[in-house]
Amino acid sequence: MSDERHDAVEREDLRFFGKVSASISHEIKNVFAVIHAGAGLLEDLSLLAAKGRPLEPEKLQQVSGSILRQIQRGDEIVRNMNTFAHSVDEDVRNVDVSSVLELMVKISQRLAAARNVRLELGECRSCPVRTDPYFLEHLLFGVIELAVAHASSGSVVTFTATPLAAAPDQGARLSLSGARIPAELPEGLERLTRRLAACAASGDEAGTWVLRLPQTVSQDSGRI
Amino acid sequence: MSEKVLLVDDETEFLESLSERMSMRGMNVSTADTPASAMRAVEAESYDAIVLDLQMPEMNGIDLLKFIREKHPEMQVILLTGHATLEKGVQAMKLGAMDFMEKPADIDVLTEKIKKAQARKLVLVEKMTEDKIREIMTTKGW
Repeated sequence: MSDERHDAVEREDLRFFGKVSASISHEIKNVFAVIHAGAGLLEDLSLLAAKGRPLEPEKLQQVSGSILRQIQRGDEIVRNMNTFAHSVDEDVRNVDVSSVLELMVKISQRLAAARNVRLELGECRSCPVRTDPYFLEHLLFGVIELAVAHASSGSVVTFTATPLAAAPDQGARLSLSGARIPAELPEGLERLTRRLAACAASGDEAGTWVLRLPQTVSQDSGRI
Repeated sequence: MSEKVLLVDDETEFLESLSERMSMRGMNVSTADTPASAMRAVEAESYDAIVLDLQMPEMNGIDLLKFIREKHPEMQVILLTGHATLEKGVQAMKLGAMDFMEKPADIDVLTEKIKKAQARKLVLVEKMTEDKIREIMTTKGW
């Protein structure tokens, strides 16, 4: 690969990492904003109580409940972020495609919501494969971005992950419905598909886009 | 005179807590959790200040800001965002936002900005009324 091509690929990888980090940090900021507003309200209520206004237990329960919910929400966001960050620890390892899909759908929800598209998980069964987790996440994120870009406002895009029906130990089948994915994938997604020795196909069922992942990807499989 | 404020954000728990805090400070607060309901609210009522989240489903805060500025230029918009960048701030101010704040916003700072918004709106409405009277007088040849 030429130096320029290498730089472009590296930049694309970094852009993906940056997009995910920006989306996650935005989500965390929102959580902080809700907690900040709730904590501020508790402070106001306590100041008023000190001046003699009686405290309403229901109000306190409502605000503290909101703070607890937001802490749980923040905890889940940070846990997802941590899982994502550790995906670069090893080049190739055993992963469950369903879990990776679920992670990327959760991480992408806000990006989709910004375009008024909802992402949903349909049937997801355990699909253990040996692959490069980072490239798999990158590919799934790219597919989700593409689906959102091609989905109409207000629509729902549904993803499924199941073992390959013909030979369950031969890999996994990912599908997407609710958005039309172009037959020709953008260059970056083509590169990732090759890197994972995967195979993409559209229209095998009405409007469903399918990605087949092999059971095992070697460390240099499909490397450009 | 109490400030009339519309809070717009898709985080409903944020809306509930912040609107209550603002009400405790004597403001008359309404809320909208979607851009569509915010558009309906500004068509139905006149607000001194609209505190607007920049990122929302359906329509982002910038598009909503454009709508408000076009339909009701006297209403003052304060944008709230998770991450304030210089570019976003400059864009918002160019489009006529009165101010731009990062979440979580300090209630005292926000209150001050809302008071300024009310004063600014009063001056603008006065000027618009004067312009209108001048226009009528010119038309009538008085």
